[in-house]
Amino acid sequence: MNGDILQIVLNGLLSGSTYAMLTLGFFITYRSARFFDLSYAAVLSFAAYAAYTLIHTLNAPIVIGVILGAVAGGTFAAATELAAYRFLRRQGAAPLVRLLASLGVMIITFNLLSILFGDAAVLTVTAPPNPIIFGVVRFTSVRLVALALAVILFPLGLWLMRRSRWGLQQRAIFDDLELAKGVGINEEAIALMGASLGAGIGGLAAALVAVEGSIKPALGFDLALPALLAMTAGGLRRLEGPIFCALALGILEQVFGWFVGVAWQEVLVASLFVLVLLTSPRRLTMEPQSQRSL
Amino acid sequence: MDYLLHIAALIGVYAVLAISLDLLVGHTGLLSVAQGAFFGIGAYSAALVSLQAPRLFPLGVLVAIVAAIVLSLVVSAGSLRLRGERFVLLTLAFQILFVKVAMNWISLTGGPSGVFSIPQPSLNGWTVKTPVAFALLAALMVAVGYALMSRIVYSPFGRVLRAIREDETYTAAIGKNPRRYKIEVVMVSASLAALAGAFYAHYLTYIAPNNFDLGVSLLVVAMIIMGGVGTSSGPIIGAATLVLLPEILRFVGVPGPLAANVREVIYGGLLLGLTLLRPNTLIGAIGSSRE
Repeated sequence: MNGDILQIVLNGLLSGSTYAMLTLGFFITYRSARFFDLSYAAVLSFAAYAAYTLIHTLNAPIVIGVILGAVAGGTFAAATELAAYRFLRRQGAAPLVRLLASLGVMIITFNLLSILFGDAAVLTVTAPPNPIIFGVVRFTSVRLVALALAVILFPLGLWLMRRSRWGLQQRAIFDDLELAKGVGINEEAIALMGASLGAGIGGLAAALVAVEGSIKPALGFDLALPALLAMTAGGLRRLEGPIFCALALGILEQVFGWFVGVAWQEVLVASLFVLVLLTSPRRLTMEPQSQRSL
Repeated sequence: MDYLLHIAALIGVYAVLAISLDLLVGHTGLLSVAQGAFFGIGAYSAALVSLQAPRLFPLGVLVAIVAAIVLSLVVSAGSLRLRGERFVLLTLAFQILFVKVAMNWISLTGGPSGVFSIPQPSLNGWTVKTPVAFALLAALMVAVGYALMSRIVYSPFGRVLRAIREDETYTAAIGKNPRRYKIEVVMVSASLAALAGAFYAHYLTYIAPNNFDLGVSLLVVAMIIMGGVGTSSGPIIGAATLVLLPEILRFVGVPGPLAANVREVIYGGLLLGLTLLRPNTLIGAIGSSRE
């Protein structure tokens, strides 16, 4: 029984680390774009299918496939930023209109992937099947890589957003767009880099998922939802909150799956999303914070 | 001829859905992507009642409307506290929750397989069976929806809704309670969507969760944008256009399995294209608000 509990907690932590990477990517995307860019879900699907194609069709090594999958995700987001969002920003379109455009991008991408690869889920297990056994718990090497990446990327993300020149400029835009523009900060360059970077990190997580499980065209939506929930629950001001919520969600999901059934895990995520939005709407405000924000 | 009547019936269903959404978006300034969920709640409620009481079509419709009203309280509660993008996120979450529950509550909804053999609308031994009768019933439904919308829009109630859309604080300052009006308009909108859902379930005699997913909600958003948000005939024109447009695919030889995906690409493309073409006038007052 103790072994089961330990395994559940470990599984939760491993799922949570994937959610944390997805959340980090979405957080960077949101802070740069200043609207809820739901085409992030399309980016995740695109990266997963890119990795799948590279590994299965072009016989690329797994590591190369995953890295190039992430690069493909970043490139896709940059292309969307340049082709659509930059134009909408220049037109002064409200965040709500940009959100609608991002839904359009999402629907187009999912269905183009369906046309190219089919609607059905494809089994994509390519990683070494033998699990690593450590005492009473077991896990796969891909999950371990995801955990290690999350551990590396979280402090890197914090540094990037708090200390780097790009991060400071992005923060200035987030706090006061007009003032930031007035002192010569290039909003478009910051948004482009944020979109690519956020999508690259999210794409890395999605590519890792593609290596170990199964993929389907709307996979990105299933992956983006926990990230969106973590951001909603953790708040949009500081990175620590969403990352903590992503890890907690991973564990909660596993415990819930153990007691209620795995099939209901996605109902839990959707229910929590509704509940958090109804009970903590203020967490979703993006008013400028003090110097300590982020 | 039967094919044309089938298209007419579908236009009727989507026109009522578009009218229900336009009440929220065009007249109150609340952009919702949960209309597919209320459509589904209506369809499942009516279908499940009809399977138990096949001859009581109106009872099924009544239960569908009541279920939609009760569940709309979740969305209306959100409308009191969330605005703009945040309200859209709530409706998105509600839409996803509905589909996930419909997929997983197999004992009630049949899960991904859906509900089969739903009886055709029947009352006191008289059953709607022919395509002509269904098309007429759909036309009656559109007439009811249109009359209800006109009645609301040109009433003092409708003027308060537009005042809320323009400035909620000002509306409260002149002594109107925006909360009450928002709750009521969300209920009316959900009821109309449920009515369309009840008809849809009885017409097709088979429903499944993917008939009511996010794609359907976005299709209805595209319809009202296409027809013109906040205009009296806009939702009907938008519904007719977007139901007819993919039918062209049949005549240009797109293979059946691909047709659904190509149709969705067209809808997504329209949504994206219209936002790029009309970014500031797209959704009236809420679309013009700058950062």
